[in-house]
Amino acid sequence: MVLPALAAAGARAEDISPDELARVKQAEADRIAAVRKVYGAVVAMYGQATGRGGGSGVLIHPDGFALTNFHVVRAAGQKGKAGLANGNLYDWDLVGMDPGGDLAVVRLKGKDAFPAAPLGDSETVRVGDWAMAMGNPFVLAEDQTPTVTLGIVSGVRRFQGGQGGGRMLVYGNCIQVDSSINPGNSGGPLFDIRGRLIGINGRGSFEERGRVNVGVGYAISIEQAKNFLPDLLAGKVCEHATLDATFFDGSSGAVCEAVNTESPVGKLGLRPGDTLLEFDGKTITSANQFLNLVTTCPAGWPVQVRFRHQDQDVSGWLRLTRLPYGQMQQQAPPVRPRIVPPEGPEEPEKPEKEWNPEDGPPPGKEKGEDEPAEKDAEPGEKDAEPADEAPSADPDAPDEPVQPEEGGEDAPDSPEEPDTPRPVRVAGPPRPQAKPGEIMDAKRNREICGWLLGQYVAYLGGREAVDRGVERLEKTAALCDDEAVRDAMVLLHQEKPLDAFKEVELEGGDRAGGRRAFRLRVRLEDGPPCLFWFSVLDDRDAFEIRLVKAARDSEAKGGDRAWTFGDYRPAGGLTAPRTVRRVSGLEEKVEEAFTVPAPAILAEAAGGVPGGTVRPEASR
Amino acid sequence: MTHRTAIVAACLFAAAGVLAAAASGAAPSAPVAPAAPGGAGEGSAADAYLLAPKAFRAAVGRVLPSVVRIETYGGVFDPAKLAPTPTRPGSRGRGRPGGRSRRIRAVGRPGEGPTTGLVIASDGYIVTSTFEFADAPPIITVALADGTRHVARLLGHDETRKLCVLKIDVEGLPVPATVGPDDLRVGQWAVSVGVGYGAEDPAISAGIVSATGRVFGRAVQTDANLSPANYGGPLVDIDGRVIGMCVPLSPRGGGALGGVQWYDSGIGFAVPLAGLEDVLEQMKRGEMIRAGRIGVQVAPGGKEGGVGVREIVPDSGAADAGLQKDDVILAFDGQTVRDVTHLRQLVGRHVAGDTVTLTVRRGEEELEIRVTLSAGEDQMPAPRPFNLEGPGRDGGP
Amino acid sequence: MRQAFLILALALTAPAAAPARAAPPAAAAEASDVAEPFQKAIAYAQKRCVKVYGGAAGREHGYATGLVVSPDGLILTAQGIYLSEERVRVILPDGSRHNAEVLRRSEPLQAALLKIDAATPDHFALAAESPVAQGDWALAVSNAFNVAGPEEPLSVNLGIVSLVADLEARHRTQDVPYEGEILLIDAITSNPGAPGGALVTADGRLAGMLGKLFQSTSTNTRINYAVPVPLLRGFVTAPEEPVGVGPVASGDTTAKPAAKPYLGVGLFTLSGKNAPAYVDRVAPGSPAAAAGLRKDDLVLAVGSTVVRSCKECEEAFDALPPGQPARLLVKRGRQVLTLTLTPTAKEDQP
Repeated sequence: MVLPALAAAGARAEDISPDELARVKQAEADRIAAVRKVYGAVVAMYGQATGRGGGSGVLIHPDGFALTNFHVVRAAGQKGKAGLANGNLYDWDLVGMDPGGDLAVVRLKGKDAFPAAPLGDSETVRVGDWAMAMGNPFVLAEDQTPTVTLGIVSGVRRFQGGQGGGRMLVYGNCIQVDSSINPGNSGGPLFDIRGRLIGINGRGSFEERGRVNVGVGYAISIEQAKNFLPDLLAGKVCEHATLDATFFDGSSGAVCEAVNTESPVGKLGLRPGDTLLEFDGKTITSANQFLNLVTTCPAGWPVQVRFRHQDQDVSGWLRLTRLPYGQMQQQAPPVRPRIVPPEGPEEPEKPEKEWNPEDGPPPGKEKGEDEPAEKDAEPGEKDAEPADEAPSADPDAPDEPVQPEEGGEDAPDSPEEPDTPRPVRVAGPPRPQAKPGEIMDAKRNREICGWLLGQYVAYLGGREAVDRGVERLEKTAALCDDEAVRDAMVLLHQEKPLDAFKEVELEGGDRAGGRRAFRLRVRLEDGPPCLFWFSVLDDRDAFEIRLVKAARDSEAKGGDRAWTFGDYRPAGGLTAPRTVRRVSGLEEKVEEAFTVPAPAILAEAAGGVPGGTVRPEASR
Repeated sequence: MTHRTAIVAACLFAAAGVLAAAASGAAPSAPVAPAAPGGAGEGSAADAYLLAPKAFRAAVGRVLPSVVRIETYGGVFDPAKLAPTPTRPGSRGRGRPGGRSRRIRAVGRPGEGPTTGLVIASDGYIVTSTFEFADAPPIITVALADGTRHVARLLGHDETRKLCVLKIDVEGLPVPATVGPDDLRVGQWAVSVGVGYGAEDPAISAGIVSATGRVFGRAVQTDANLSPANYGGPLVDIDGRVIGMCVPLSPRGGGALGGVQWYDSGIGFAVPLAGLEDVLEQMKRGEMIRAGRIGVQVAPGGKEGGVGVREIVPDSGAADAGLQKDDVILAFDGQTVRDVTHLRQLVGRHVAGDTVTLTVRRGEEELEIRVTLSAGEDQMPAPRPFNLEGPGRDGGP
Repeated sequence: MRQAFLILALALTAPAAAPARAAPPAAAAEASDVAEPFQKAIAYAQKRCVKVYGGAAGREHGYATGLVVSPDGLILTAQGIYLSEERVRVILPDGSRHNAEVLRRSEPLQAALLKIDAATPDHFALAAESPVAQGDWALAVSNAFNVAGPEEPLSVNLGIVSLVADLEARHRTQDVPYEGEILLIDAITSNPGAPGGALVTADGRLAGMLGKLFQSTSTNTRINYAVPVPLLRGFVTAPEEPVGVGPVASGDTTAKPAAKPYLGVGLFTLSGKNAPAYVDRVAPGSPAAAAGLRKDDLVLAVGSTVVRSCKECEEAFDALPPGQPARLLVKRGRQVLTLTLTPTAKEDQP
């Protein structure tokens, strides 16, 4: 064929050498492999019926726990259906939710081991990094296979304000991406190019065209999700934290504008005019940066703060105050600091064009709260009309792509103007019986306690190993100089520990032993309550649930006197801590340290010594 | 003056010495040293991504000989008979004050630019999107890659895929290579090619394959920008083989223009040519493939699941087959029907004329009823016959 | 069996309690071998782009992005109503705020040049030749949606250069006076706040300035484009021209020739007198009709006078002596034509 004019002009058909093309295709193949690795963990989230719109989610544990957005479960209900890439539908139950940060955890059932996505580290994400979003935009997945889109990280540590008084659906310290995120992607995973979970997609900036992607999407950072994971698994209606002080950008950095003197930081001595230097181990350079950080913290989180007060550096640990939902109280500091520079132009205002807050009532105050939590809609019956039926609904409530149940089998839309967003309605909003900060369902919480302790026993080496190692465990417990704690610890390791205690409750999340932790509260018959902390993740962000701290329960929640357990090593089939430390304060200052003696009988029987090397026992 | 600390970004993204030197120099800051691409080291993955543009260009170059530019004419001579749509494709106006075209157009009306098409048979068959032909223009011309212009006839169309076939009287045209559907991988590169901007060169957009088997199993989904700029054109892989034809599609249907609201949104659809041979033959013969419908108004099926029939649409396949009000459709061709959405998905994979078997509960009985799917309302008017011998009756261009 | 049982180094030892969480060393080591090619270009560009704030008016947004193009505070940005206000403010990457003066505007390029009173050593060089070809990576750096707070970095979107072509565009209901080639890209940049942003190549060179929120008349869709750097260079280095500040009041009081010419052409003035001189109507049987002038033609020159706006064109028409043939240079579609128009005298009008 004669050299085509169009062809020559258009493509500037330069040749690519076979070697170069091979390299391009190798990178392409790596990306395809990364997608395939996590494909099975992406969830298409539905309410009770698959036809009523949907969102997305991602499995993070083989036992069926999946992360998604709060606003997805709010639309879907307490339970629903989930589609996975294998084409099957599974049932899910709501576990916990975080309206403030727009997160929720559900649990899928119906499979012994679900594919789970590996967690990444959003702190190391940079602008320009590849970012893959996966989910079910516009509920296009008839076969439940996720949609995958590729883009880059456009911004990090972004702030997108909330709705309903500014306290709900706040995306603080979030990741901005240009990977296409559309209605229906909400709750789904954001992966780096290697297939590690770095965020949960949930919002976008939309424009005159309506709610279709225009290159600006936002994902909750996985670090924030990790912070809230224990509270979510405990089945709480999570609350976020506040320092109960506001800051503005002054000449020395983040300067205190107002502070509640009765708050923990007020009691430390923070006063207006002081400069905040460090928060939770991070250097503070601006008021906005601080605000970004605090929005990612759960209420009650122990943190260290450092500030300058009249030429003196003051430092201390405190537990962050809870930030209540609902109407703003008069005394409560505003969420977003007002920036007041000494001179210069005013702060430019944010554009109105951004997505408008929905005036949905906060959970616990929704209409229908009196109804039983788990009432299912009768098939065929119209949905109980929820209160928040506003047309401009959830920021990314997935579009409803199909006609309502009544009506034509197919009533194709006329080519319409950029769409008016339609809310997703299934079985009505979830009706938590608990107020913010409380656990929604005691029964479910107990189930999770059982799961948690099962995971712990598995980490230790299994039921048999724990039974065989009971002597060692008793020796470990004996190092805790508190009878109630000792007794509780022993019971904790027995078979059927839930039955052994009069009260068992997973309180939620905390920090212990330098890590994020679950906090379990137990009480023996006639005994005082005790607390046990279990780690959540290891250094590589894989799940690792092991006992890291124990204490008597008190208002200080382990902040007065406690024992930490570390240096876990396998010995004779049992992985057990070698070190016990008595600590005090939220900073876990070490008062005393002990080494757990290795029971001779154990070492000899196993033919090995702690440390994993096989050596004949020299002596008893 | 307010003291401002260095932005967090500067700390986070502080690059190596090259940038530091550039920043402090008096000369206009030089750009980053054009790296051995990426500068991340020989043979690194970053290098491979920096080479991708070369591969995009080469891939586009391979398919370009088969890409054609389609222009339609006719409206300016017969404005009274036009459907009330603004600017006819191909007309030269830049917008007239006060007229209809001055209104902000809904997305979805074809603009003034040409349409893209793709040669699919060397003896002059071209496939394109029905997007530009919603108004059945009487005069269609095709400009080939070699620059020659030919008059074309519009043959058949497939409503369910938004594709149609044109015929020009030329032989020996280059036919592009296609990718088999089994060879597609989610995450692989996908590049769209289209002439819709009316420029001398086509526009290209790069993205990935987002999913396969979308829209009733008919389309590959991509996040490359698909829009009127490339509807009717090819989506190719990194080797320049055609993955599919770019079309506006939506599970909601919407006629020839349905799906356009998703232009450039990262949601785009391409209909694979591989496996489409039968459909293409039908279109070549001038047939119209329409979406199939049972012909019922439905409601949720009650406690036993399935879908309830509320009304029967007269003159439909349901009416002919004797379906009745209050029947409950339990299964479709043996597959249990979960809910209305599921039924739509099952029906959607068929076309008008297909015969399916419904398992229906009527009262206490369970029946098997065979239904021939009827066509919905015609989304696209039948093409007007075109007189090849002279200018059109309108006076011609 | 106890003897057989030996757990290997699943042994994950717990580190000593450290309140702050450090990034695991493993992650840092892995980061260098992953496929992240754009870091340097982004860092380079973010230091040379600024946030621009003016006045919002109706549906027009009051904020945009700008490019630092000289070491002494010259900022290139998109032209728009938001610059008509008294106060235009610029925020530099270091977070410092400055008042800006509008030096000049370009209607054809839809660009404006600002000046702030500050040293800006980090600036873009404006190349005389375009550094991009179709298919190349293109990074768009801007403050789309005003997401970035005053001290926060600008947003970055990735695309490729889709096409280099002339623009036929529209903004809402009005045709856009832009003239010249543009770089069409497939990143979405047609967003509030993006105009004036930087389009850079993967190796950090400035390829263009992000354009405004226009629709293509060819496709009826929003286009994402940038003004190529060679055109920007011409504008920035052009000699001082008076600033256009909006529609000028009509009613020019200069004396007109005794016999006014009659042409029979009406210009499209709905966009204002400073809009380009498009022909709106041609009276049948008139001198303009006889010359072959048509509706939608764009008058470029009347005689030897280049006309850039309706106002200039009308003035030039009014200055034509009746009865004498004059050459008109008009643009029709993509062609440029020369027409000969002989105006009659106004009294000859029926």
